[in-house]
Amino acid sequence: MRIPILRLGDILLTSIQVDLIDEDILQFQHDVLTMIKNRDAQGVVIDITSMEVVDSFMARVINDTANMARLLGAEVVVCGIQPSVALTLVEMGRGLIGVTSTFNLEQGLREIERRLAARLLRPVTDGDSNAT
Amino acid sequence: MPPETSDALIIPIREQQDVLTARQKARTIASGLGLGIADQTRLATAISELTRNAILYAGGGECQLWDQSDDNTFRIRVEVRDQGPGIDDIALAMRDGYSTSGGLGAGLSGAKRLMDDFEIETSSAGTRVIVTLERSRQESFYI
Amino acid sequence: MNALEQAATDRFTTLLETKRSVILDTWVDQFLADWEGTRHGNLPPEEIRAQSQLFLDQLHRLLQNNFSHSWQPQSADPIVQLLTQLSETWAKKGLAAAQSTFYILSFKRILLARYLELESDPAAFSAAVAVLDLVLDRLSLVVVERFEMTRERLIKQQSLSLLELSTPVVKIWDHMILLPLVGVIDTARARKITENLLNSIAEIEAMVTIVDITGVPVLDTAVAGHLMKTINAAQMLGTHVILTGMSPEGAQTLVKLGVSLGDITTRGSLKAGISEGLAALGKVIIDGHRRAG
Repeated sequence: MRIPILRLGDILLTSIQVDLIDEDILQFQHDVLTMIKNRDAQGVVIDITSMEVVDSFMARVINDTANMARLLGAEVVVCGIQPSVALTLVEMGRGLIGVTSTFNLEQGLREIERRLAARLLRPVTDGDSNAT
Repeated sequence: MPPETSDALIIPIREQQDVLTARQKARTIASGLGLGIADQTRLATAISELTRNAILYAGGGECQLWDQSDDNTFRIRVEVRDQGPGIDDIALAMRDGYSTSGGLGAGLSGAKRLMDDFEIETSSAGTRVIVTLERSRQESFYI
Repeated sequence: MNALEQAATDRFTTLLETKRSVILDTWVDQFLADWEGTRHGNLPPEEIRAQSQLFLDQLHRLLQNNFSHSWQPQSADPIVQLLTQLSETWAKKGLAAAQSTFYILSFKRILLARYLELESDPAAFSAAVAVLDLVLDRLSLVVVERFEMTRERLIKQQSLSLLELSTPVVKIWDHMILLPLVGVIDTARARKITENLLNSIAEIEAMVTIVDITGVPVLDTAVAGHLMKTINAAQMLGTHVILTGMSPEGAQTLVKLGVSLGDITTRGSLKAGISEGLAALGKVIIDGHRRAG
């Protein structure tokens, strides 16, 4: 079961729609990081609206993926965490530490856009490519 | 009160897919009793932690689910057992953040925090973890 | 059991056979008379009669079958089950604890009176008292215990419903929610509050959540821990949390205890919190009375 990753400009969109086994989510982590590197993506939105259970392992992988993506220079937003999932995670003494979250995909995209706009050095147009 | 093995739902845990089956079955039992989505999620998550441990450390095992509700209380009992090498130092394994497998180490302690009762027996012949979710029938109206 | 006690036990068994209906009548009448003017209107006399009849049968069986000193009421005993059920019903109907105890004690008196009619030897009589003490005192303890348990459970349930009422989540603006916390926060209550809050936040997709703790009397490590969990879970959903209403004592305690509130926005007053929240939503408050220029 491979989770599809879509590209929207330099932002990656991905939505976890089914109950995952451990290998699937590790594969997903690998795929996201590879795609950020290969396509020079600047942002990633991970939608987990459909995840009804996020246990400590899943939480760790999502956390790690966000931190790794950040190391590769991409902004990461997780969206659609279910109330009962958030509750369970804090009760276990876990959380998605240091990950920004939003309610839905649309807000997630907007948050990424906002952050990218705030990057002072973000090249909006490429002056050189016109010259060649 | 020792549970009757006959009315237990037994799910063999051999591969990752069985973890999903076990927690879905538990969810069905919980929602059938009318427990709220938060309790369904607590139960499913605890089972996820325990059954994953069984696969990770013992190569598999068995998950048993009982509905032991009575007139006053909803009670779902879960037993996960394996025939693995056992846990050397339970106190250490229960400590938050401890892990030998690269997980968050929240497995056992997380399951304990989510459930209302937690028992563990471990020896070189295997490990048995029993957790129980208990809710007063009255209380459940509010969840 | 010594010989005298065994004889007394046998005599009771016989009494329960031969004088069954007169004992039953006296007992039920006395019991109902004692309740006269109280709230026994809810309990049909026929029901009490039927249950008392069952009790006599069970007691008869108990005394007949190798009754001994070692007997202890077990929850599986039919007679214990009968009494616990009875006691539970009465507790739920709001009868006084004394009335439920009186039920067993009045029966003891009646049975002893019947016994005296047959046997007046002091030694035999004291053995009879000993036997009855053994059975009926233990059974009356069962009744009292269950009565108390039921009452406690009722009180707990009532406080639960109160608790539910006392933690409203208020929508104060589009996508802005206020949780005014009032009273002592323990683990059970914190769990409930968090569940409520998270559901409300997700439902209206609240961008701002204000948690006001003006009404929380004591802020210690435990309460701060609950608060942090609630806030962390809320943040995980994607809302911006603003904590308001911290008292100077609360701030002192938290810092002395070394509790860190992390990166939570804190504002002193609810007013400051609301304007902060509105600003986060891109709303500005304008003073309508202020004249231009």
